[in-house]
Amino acid sequence: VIADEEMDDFLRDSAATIDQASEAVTCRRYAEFMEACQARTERQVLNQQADMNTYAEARDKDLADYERAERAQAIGDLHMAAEWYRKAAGNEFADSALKLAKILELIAERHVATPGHRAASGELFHVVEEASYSYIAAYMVGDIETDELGTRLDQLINYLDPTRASSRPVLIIAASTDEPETNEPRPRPESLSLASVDDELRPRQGTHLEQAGDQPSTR
Amino acid sequence: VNESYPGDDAGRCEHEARMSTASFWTFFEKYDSRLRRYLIARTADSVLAEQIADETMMYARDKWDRLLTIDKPGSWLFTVATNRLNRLEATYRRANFLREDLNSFENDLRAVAKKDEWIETRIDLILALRLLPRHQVEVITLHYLADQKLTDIAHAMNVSVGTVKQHLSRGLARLRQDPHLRAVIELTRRIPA
Repeated sequence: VIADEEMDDFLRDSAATIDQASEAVTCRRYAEFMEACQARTERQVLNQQADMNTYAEARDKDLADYERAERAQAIGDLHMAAEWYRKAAGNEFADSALKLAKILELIAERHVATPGHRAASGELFHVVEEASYSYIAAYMVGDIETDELGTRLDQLINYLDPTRASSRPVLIIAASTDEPETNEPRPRPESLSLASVDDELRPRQGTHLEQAGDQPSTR
Repeated sequence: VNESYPGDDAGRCEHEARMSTASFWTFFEKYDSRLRRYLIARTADSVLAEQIADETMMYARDKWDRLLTIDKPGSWLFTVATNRLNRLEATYRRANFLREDLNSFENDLRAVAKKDEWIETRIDLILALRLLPRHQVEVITLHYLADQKLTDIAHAMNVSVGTVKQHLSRGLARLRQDPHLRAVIELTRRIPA
């Protein structure tokens, strides 16, 4: 295994020349770039700018969905929280896949704990299936590691069959939705749309809209 | 751009336009190669990376006067490009258009390495980066290749700094275990600077 400092040095050395290119190459690229810029019609320029703004607005929308999910989760409305996290996770926004998985696991846990619960129902199968996929999605982006993925999936299977002998020691983790540093506020992102630079003091899109109980729109 | 101009209004306008053009050239010279190579290291498709680099730089040029009012134009550039890349990749991934396997990564890199010596000499590193989980490669490339601070990365990814540090630590741990990288580092160790 490579040592910490050695890897750090290697990456810094590799990055040290990343912005270097010969003057001839830079000049040629700049000339081509300016030519491409000037060859655009006014309509093409407007379309390109609108396209770029669309991406920034879509990100604002994902953020708004994510925040609605957090508000719903805070008042204990797990199904609503799952709905909003699902929307954000569809666009791979931040750690929404992991949050969705944890919410679904809580729903499964509550389902099993319901008085009179005797056997896994279709609804429970569906929740466990989606939670499993969401944990795998979180693993794919690196939000959880292999060990935690194994533990979570094992626990999910236990909800389907509580009598099953677990292949791993069961951890009491279902109710945990904490981030690594729970006291640290999640930062608000800077606006990406230059169209909004002039309106910096205006409320951000989505932040003044729905309260926690709002229904997500169906797509 | 902030340099004062003592002449009349028309002269000032001309002077500011010239300064603006000159400063955009400086911006382009500073960030163009870095942005392209950062995007190539991040994505499975170097053509997509080049396209996003062009579009983002063009957007910066179109909005140059406003960009000058932002505290960290470089950070803005990488955040916009990263956001666009992430959304496009998510769309392509859903449609199963993105080839994210070792052979595809390698073939794509070999093609782009023919045009770029920096890539050519760092194929093993970029390949190892491309194989990392997406959030880990995003943090590592933004931090090391794009030279962004962890707080700026946290803003861009909409996660806490603690989460960014966790991705960085896990990503570096995976890189440290990469046998190809170990061979490359041992080789560079034997070659005197």
